[in-house]
Amino acid sequence: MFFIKRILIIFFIFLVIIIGDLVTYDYVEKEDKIKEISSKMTSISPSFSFASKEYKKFVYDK
Amino acid sequence: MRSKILIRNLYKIYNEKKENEFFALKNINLNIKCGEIVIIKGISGSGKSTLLSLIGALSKPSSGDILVNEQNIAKLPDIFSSQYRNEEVGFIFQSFNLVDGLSVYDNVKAPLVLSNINQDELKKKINLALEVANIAHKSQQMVSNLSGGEKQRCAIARALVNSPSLILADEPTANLDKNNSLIFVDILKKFKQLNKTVVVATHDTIFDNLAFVDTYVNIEDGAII
Amino acid sequence: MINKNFVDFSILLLLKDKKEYLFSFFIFTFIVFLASSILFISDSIKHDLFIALDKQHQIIVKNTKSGRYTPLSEEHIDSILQISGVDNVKGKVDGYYYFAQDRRYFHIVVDESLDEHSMIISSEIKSILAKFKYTTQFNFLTQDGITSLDIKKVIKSNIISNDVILVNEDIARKILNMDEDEYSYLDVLVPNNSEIDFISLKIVDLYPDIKVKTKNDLKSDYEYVFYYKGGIFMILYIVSMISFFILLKNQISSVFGEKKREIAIFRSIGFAIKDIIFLKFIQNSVVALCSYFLGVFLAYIFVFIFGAPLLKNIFLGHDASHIIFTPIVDVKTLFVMFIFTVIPFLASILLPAWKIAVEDMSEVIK
Repeated sequence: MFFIKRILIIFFIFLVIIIGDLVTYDYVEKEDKIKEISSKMTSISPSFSFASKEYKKFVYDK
Repeated sequence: MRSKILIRNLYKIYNEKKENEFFALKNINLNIKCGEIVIIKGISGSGKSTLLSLIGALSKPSSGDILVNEQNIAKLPDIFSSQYRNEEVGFIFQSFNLVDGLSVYDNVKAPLVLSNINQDELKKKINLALEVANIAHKSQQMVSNLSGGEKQRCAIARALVNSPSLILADEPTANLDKNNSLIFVDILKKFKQLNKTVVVATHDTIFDNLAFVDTYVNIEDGAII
Repeated sequence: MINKNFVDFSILLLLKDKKEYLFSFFIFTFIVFLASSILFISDSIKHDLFIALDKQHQIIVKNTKSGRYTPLSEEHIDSILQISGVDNVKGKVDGYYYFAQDRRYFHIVVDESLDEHSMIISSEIKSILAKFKYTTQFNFLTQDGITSLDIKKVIKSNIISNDVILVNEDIARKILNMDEDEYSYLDVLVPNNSEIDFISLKIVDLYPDIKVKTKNDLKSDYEYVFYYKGGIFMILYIVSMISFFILLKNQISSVFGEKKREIAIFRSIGFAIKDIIFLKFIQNSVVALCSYFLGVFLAYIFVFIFGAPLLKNIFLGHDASHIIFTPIVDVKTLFVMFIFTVIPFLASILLPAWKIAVEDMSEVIK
């Protein structure tokens, strides 16, 4: 039981860190930022470039 | 005196109805009374260990009855035969059969973990068994670090911990030196005083002509002679 | 059957054999960690993209010639406006500027609020420009010579804005070499949603070379991209799970060979078959649950707190260092993963344990 309690404590600490991160993250601000920039674009497309040039071309030229 | 074990027309056949069919036990009839000490003698392969494993419900007979406390254990389903082994029987084996990597204390504790007893009672039972088997001073040692005699005493403590009424010992002195064998004989006397029914299967001459032994049974080729 | 003494004893045996369990613990944790990380990353990207999609117009029109995109003209706007059901058509300027020094494209987006001398850039672009000493302004190479713009503001990089430079429309035309009456795309405003598909077909009827995208088309494009990537990882995941179970099976057969005697000892002291299975169940549940939760927790920390180094590049390419993933935890998918990892793991251990427990133990413990 001591072993299980010890593991539960470790997991509890992890959980506190994760819940803390989820609660403190400003989703509203991020959503506003994304919406603001996407409203300026006529056609949004993910702004990341893909590792392969052919694939990028495939995505952007679709 | 009341009958502890009553065996009737017992057969154990390996590879039944096959070319290599082998009769390990043939028509065994035996009556062991409560508190008796019985020595089953015979050479290797005579069937004495098979008889012991059938009495201990470790395996099932091909035919015949084994009545322990007037209950037929020959055809018990696994769940009840396990309960019978846990509560009624204490085994002592030639190779001790201890769990390596655990301490003496934890090995002795093993049969008790199936019952939901509280920690105080658990400790009391374990310590009592360790005292009777004279191994209490080594209780925290790993069994792998024990000598043969100490391992034997640990196995005895484990066999006694649930206060079984029946002790089954299969070649208990085969891996012991003379001194430790004599200690085991002394422990047998203790069992007698505690009114345990004991069945020992052995070919060791150290058990010959002991005054406190009630019955000697000789087995040859799977039959009592 | 369930009692504290039994659970304690099972854990005691687990700790005794910890070396044998470490192998499965580490491999299992690693697989769950990898699968959860991929899940977290793709869920986060999808979440951000779908938020962005909310602000999109119903129909977007692009022109092609010989399979390549070409600008649209005023004529296109006029004829699309004639289609009944269309409320308005707006021509937009938008495109990519190739920054040869760093061999990458910047996404030029129009922001009417900006004057002709300034621009807004993302933090990713800022760090790229800084590498070439452009800290306060940047010189665009255009057909008419150099166009210098001051950096007015830096916005946070996200999945949409990572490669974006916001400029005035006239400047955008200059950078992208587009005439006054040319447009990159057209936004078609249709008040009645049920008419969107019909109007799309009408536009294609008018101009067979035109590509029409509705909001739903874009949504399925994104899903396609992530199913494509997710599919690759799904195959990797299945392959790794299969190899894990093959390794586990080998390990189990060797370990259970040695454990046969131990199981027989427990049977001799009164453990029933169900007790042996329950004992193994407790031990392996502890291993599987610890691995699973540790894998998921570490994946969360790796992706959302440390920004998933290495894995981020696989998903987003090499210029994504400024993107911060939005923490999205899809409990349903995690539960499905639990079912597909923990249950087969337990089954692969419990079946051989049961096989051994039902064997005749009298010969093993002689």
